[in-house]
Amino acid sequence: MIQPSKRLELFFLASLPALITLALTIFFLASKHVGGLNRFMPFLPLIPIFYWGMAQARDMPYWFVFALGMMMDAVMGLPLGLSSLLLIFFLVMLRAQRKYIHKEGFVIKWGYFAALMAAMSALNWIMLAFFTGRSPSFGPAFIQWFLTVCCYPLLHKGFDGLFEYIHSRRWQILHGN
Amino acid sequence: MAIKKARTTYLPLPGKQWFYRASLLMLIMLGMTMMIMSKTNNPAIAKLRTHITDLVTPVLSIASSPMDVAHNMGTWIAELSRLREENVALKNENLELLKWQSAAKTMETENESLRALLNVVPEQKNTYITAHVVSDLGGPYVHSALINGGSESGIKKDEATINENGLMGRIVDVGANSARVLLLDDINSRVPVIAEQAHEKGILVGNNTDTPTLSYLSGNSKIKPGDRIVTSGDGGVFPAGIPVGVVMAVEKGTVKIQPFVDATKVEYVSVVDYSF
Repeated sequence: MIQPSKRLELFFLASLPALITLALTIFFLASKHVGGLNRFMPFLPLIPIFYWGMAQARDMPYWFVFALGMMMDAVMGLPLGLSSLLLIFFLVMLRAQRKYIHKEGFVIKWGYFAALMAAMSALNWIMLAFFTGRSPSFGPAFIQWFLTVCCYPLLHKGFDGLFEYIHSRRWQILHGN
Repeated sequence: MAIKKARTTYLPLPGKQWFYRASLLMLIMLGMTMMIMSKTNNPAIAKLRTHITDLVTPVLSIASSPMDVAHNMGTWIAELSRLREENVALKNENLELLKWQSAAKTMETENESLRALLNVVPEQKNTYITAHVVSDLGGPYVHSALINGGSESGIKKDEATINENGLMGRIVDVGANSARVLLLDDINSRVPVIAEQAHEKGILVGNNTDTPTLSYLSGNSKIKPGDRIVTSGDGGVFPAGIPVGVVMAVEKGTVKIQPFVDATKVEYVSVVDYSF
């Protein structure tokens, strides 16, 4: 029988990936007032979604990314539902290939992230062009893609450490020291 | 002792799989329905959007505070190094402004007596509401910003948003404590303007770049780089004369405008009710 305090800690550990994703989303959406950063801010929430969707799929549920997408759309002024659908597409594509990529090294995962984000950006462009009847420039989206891909290694390394901690702590709680 | 890694095992329960797929399908259908409803400007979706922004705005406001502090510190340090030069420049500017103040006072008195003589109906005073920009500027496809003032502060749809340099955009969505500003350079932005020197009217069209362009100009346009662009007042959304930008280049019939307001650096804006 697990003590209530331990049960609470397990719940917190399970929520940690979602909380980190939410924090990065808020940072991504909040005003930075720094020249170009406001225009080409790396799409940071996508990195934890990819990492935790790959490492621990149950900690990154579809309903959560859907809600994140709605928040992004509402704040950024995009058609409501667009980012939700794109993030779900991202997660579905990720989970479809998870069993093949999960055990691969960092470089393969990084490459897959870059490819998935490129596909998502292209789909975003197509959907917006269809939705608004205008074709926005692809340049800023490319810069955002590039910056996000550059940020990936740093966050990946950080999440690796967190993943180890969550797993070992869960093991300690469930099976004792 | 080495800690063993816990492996997550999923039981292939048919019911669980069915529920998982059904919920995914429902979320996709919900997303598509919302997009279609957004396209048709459904009021329920607009209401949902403002409810979400009302909820998120206080959080964004708190999240942007440390960045505001860091930004202000940076500006302060940069300004500190050129304090002496700036002081001399300001003293000279002050002398120049004192001359203008004297001229303005004389003209104000003259204006008042002429207005009284002609029985001119007095103009309505504009009301200004200052709000903090709490969100990023929308990313690569949409150029808009969220401010932390809404209908409770008296902000209404289509009002002009300005700062000390000129026009920044207009209000497109209003919640109880949040509002969205559509920036001049957004692809959906259209502002009727006039080139002051050439006296030519046109429409400032956003294109998601830093330099929106002028459209609907006459064939033999005399607009040249350096001309000042202000609102024309056509369409009844903005009053005439709000500074918008300056002509940066005229290339193959395309007139590129450099807006006076650099939205990426704006922290506070004034929402103006012009009361037409």
